[in-house]
Amino acid sequence: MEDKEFDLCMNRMADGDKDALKAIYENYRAYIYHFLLGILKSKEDAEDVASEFFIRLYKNASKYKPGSGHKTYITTIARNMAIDFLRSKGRESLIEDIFPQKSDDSDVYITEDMITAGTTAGGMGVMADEGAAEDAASADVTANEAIGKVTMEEALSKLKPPEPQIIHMKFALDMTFAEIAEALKIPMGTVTWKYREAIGKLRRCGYAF
Amino acid sequence: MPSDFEREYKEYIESTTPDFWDKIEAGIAEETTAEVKTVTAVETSAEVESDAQSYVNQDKKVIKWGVVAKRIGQFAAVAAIAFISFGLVSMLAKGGMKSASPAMSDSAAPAAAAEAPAADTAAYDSEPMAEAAYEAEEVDAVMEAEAPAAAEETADEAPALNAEVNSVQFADSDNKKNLMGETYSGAAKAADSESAAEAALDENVYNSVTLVEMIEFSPTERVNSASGDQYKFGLTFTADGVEVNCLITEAEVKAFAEEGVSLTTDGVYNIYVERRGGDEQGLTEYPYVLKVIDKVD
Repeated sequence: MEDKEFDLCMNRMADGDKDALKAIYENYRAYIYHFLLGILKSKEDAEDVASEFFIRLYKNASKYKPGSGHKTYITTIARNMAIDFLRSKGRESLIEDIFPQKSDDSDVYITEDMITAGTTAGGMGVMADEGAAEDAASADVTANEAIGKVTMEEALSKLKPPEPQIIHMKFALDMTFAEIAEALKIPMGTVTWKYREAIGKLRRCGYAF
Repeated sequence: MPSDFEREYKEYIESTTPDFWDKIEAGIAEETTAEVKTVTAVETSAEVESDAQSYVNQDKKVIKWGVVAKRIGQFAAVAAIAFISFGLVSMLAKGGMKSASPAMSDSAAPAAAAEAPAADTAAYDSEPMAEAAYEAEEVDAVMEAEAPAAAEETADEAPALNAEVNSVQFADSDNKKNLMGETYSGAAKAADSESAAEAALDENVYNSVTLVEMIEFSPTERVNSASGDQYKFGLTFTADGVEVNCLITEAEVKAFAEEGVSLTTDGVYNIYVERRGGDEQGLTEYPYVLKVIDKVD
């Protein structure tokens, strides 16, 4: 769903149009559910919070500001709801695992193009940082040590937070690294670094990119 | 063309996502019902308050049966006292007439008659409602005018007269008290309805969807406190035409994030705060949203 279409649906929802909500639900049901499942680790909880997400989206449709990028908007809401849910259940430790706090932004100058080039070509783009170069080397090593194709569930289980979330946002919703960084509230450098690591692990599991 | 992974991943998440549309519809219906209840409660409270206000303002008298019964009881008690008093006076007068010589009977009658108003006045004095001296004087004048008449006749008429005067006093007094009672009752009713409105508001405030205004605010000041540095959030908003400026602490913001609380600065407001994003370290970047639902006072 494009931004314009989403904005239109939100406008209709603000007027109480449930069909508009249904359209958004059909488009983002899987994305929201799996995004929450990746954080909450419980199908029941993910379903509950996902339901609550769409209810909240409908109720607060009138407050939506069009043109602000709906992918980031819905992901941020889902993220916050997941954090609130974990806090309410006393499972704060999971929050830190999935959403690491800002440490340093030394790698933020690695551009999206560089990362894409590095991963798709199986090599590295221009790296201006030793740590990043090491990461790239590590990614290449993991990519070379293929273990044969496994099921998607099994392959995803090899990823460590926030890698599943980044992969999910990248492939399910085609979000840019900047959008992912904004939605997850983590530096873009961390996003790109984690993305590369995840890609490497998935390659080992037999998936092509 | 999507990569193998992208295609397979999309298929995977689509096939493993349950359908929870029914749950969403039920949730929306439930919230809508709650909203309708809230709006109805607020409207009902407003109606009651309005009724109470018009009740206070209107001049129409209202019969209060409780007050009437009380007044009748008081009247009966005073009438009984007056009757006994006049009975005693009458007996004394008769006894005096029997023992006195016929020559004295003429002079005794005015004396008894003179005593009658005195007893009558005493009866009035004992009656707490007899506050109008003018009425007492009027009764005395009537009694004095009738004094030349037979003492028995005076004794017979006095209670009736007393009763008549008392009834006038009671009527007047009832009038006053009715008006006072009416005003008080109206005010009490207004106060009661106000309490009811507040109670209804307290009960429903956090479910209410009647948003007066939405405010975004960000940390504006960092202050030292006993527990160390903490952020304070500058908050300015207008509710019911009143501009509110205040600083709230980080702890308060966190409390707001948990649930709606009253913000006590330049008045008390029922507010609901929704955390928009961010975390403890990201306060400067991710504002909170306050929804001011109502001004309490």
